[in-house]
Amino acid sequence: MTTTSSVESPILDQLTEKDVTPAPPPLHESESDLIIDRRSIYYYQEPNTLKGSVVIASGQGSPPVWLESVFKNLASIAKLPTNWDSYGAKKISRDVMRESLLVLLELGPDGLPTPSVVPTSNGDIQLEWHELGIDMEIEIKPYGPSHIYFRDSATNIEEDLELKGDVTGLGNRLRDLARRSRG
Amino acid sequence: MPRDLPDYNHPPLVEVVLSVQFDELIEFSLPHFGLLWQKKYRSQFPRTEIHPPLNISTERFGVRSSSRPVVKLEMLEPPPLPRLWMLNDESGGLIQIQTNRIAYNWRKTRGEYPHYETIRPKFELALREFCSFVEEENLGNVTPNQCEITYVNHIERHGVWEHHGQVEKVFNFWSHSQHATGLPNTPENVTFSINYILPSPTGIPRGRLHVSMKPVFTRDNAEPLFELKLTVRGYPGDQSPRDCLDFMDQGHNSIVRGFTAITTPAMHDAWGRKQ
Repeated sequence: MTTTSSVESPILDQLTEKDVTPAPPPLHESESDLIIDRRSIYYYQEPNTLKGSVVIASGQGSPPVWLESVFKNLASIAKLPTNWDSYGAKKISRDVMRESLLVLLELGPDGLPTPSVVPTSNGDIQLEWHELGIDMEIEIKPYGPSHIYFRDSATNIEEDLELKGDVTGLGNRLRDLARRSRG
Repeated sequence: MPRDLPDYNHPPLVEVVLSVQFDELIEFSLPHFGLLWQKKYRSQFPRTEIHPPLNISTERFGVRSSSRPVVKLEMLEPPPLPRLWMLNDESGGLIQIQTNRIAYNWRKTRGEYPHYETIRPKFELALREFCSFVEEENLGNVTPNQCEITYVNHIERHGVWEHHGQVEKVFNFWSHSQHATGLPNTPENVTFSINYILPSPTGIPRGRLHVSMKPVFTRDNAEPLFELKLTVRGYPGDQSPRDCLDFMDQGHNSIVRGFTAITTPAMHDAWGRKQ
């Protein structure tokens, strides 16, 4: 969308206004590759390369335990070319990577274990956990989570859910997993 | 247009946007922007501008957190592709293209709002031309994942209100008790943001109506205005361009009814309400 110049306070709606705050310079660097500033904006920059990826995310409070691992995985996935599996796999788009991170930050409760971040041949990403008696897989498409598989051997609950915008069920299952992880 | 949809002779509209977000076209690269402009749009939209791309924007339901985290990925290779603006300065028409979005804007330049029935076919044509280009160049498929329609209004005084504190003269859900203890009689100004979930016929959330208002002043003579923005965003049913147009129609309906529902009869009279 465009700005309209006739007002002093210009219209900056979703089509002209970048919906991210410009990242401030880091205030301190940790020993890992993950950088966190005092406003809880997390940065990850691939070390030792100019062709690497910079991943920037914001959250509230301390960064979750899975954050650095997921950042590193996404940075690796970003470098996969088209046909990365030699069977015609699609390149993974930035939108899919961004949504993968967003789902975890938005819905991941405290104590959520670190997921495996798996690219799929059709250009999606699958977030997976196979531990503590729970198998859980979330399919991430460019617009967000589209499918969830959940199986809990302790309770015999098994779910196979299509999601279209409504992530209530996904949030519940992530909380189940985090609760189990916390003991 | 449905017969019972409110209509105005002089609505306060200054901008309308119809936009479709789709799965990123990975094969769409920098030369395609120029080729697309030349083949499909240049004759009608002769001027171009380059802008940074927008992040994707997706409605999500069932999220408990009040503030959405921000995620930004910056990759040096491949470098990010821009958003191309193609403009027709005469008509106020603007087409915006990036690798995962197409938008058609009408912006008020001169004359009255041409109404949705005039803007919709222009958006439809822009979308159809884009889809045919993607097909001709073997760039994949345009798979819509979100649709969006936005109306921006600049509400002038029209002798109904004088200053930004008189919100109740424009918006009928606002009341300010003059006898409220501990508060002055009128606020200096008011800003609001309201979201409504729009269900599908089956009851499943399909999208949201976002209503926001802020006080502004005209740049040239500092006249006060209320800037009222209404956006409907959500999921197209079967992810086809046809379904996107249906979504726009329903979104337009929700916006016009919503606009009429929250504004006062005195303002309706000032805008020349016909029905």
